[in-house]
Amino acid sequence: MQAVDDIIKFNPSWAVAKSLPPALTANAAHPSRIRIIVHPSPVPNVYKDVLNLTPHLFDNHFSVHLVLHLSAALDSRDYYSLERCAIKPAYTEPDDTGERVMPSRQPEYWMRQPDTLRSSSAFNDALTRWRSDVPVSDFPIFLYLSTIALTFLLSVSGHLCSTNLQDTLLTITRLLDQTSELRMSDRANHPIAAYQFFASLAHVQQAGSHVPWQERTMVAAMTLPNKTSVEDLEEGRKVVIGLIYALIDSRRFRDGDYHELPDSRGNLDPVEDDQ
Amino acid sequence: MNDYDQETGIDNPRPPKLSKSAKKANLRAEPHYDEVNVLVTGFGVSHDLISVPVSHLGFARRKSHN
Repeated sequence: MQAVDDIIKFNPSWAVAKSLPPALTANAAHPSRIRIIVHPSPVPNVYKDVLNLTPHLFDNHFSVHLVLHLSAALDSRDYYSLERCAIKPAYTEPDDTGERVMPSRQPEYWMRQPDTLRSSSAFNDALTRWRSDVPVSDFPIFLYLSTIALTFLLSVSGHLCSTNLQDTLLTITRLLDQTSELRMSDRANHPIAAYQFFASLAHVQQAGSHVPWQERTMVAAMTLPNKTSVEDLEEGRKVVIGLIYALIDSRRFRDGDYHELPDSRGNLDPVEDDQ
Repeated sequence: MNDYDQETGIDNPRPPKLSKSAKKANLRAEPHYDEVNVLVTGFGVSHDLISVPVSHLGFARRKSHN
């Protein structure tokens, strides 16, 4: 039996956050200099604390362009996922204090929010940049990019009328998506992480309703595999840095000379307004 | 042609009119994010996370001499 003294509880999301460098230098591939500020303490797994913390994340003496929430998966997955949307909390899982989400304790402005909030980032583009930049697996990025580009070109030129061809391209893209260690997800794996993501998106939506979306703070959430070896944490660190670069570059290129990439259905991702 | 500002008493030259292409070039030349700030959060220990042996983390816990 393992001695109690030799066992510690460990959350890889906080370990990876703490290991991030204070800044990422600009270079030819990533033209923005990025300052990384890690919140000084880990977020408690308590709904009430998450809700109280949220406004303070955005109310700083400096501008925050991106708030990135990291969490660890509850299952034994091997992949990292970028959460695309947050669903209005109706979670029945208790937090560490045994409390559940109580609608009566939620801010009033949550009632005016839609059931699903989507991040304002151009996620298809960010995902492609992320996969191109982070060599965590043998993901066939060239085949993936070629398939997307072919779908895009055929749809633009009006030649994507063949159902068989469209289905084939769609199938290839989906299969490639499922083999990647960097994926997009529509629901955060951890209920309190999902709660935090919704709280941040709702806050930005509420506080920034009078400013154009380009000037609002981006909010993103990422789920890491629940793995804690030194190698896993080092990989997680690289993956998070790659994601930060991808999200910043994606937003920057969308504001400027940016050409949207099609999604897996061949559709262009509409510019979302933190709906 | 200059405009005379009666409050300040100085001439305010109007900015030159830019063509659409020049405006676009200006926008591209001045990116919005020369430096960006990113705030990262991570979660603390939860009762549903696994317990990890210290040795698995690659470092040994210092033994107490008491």
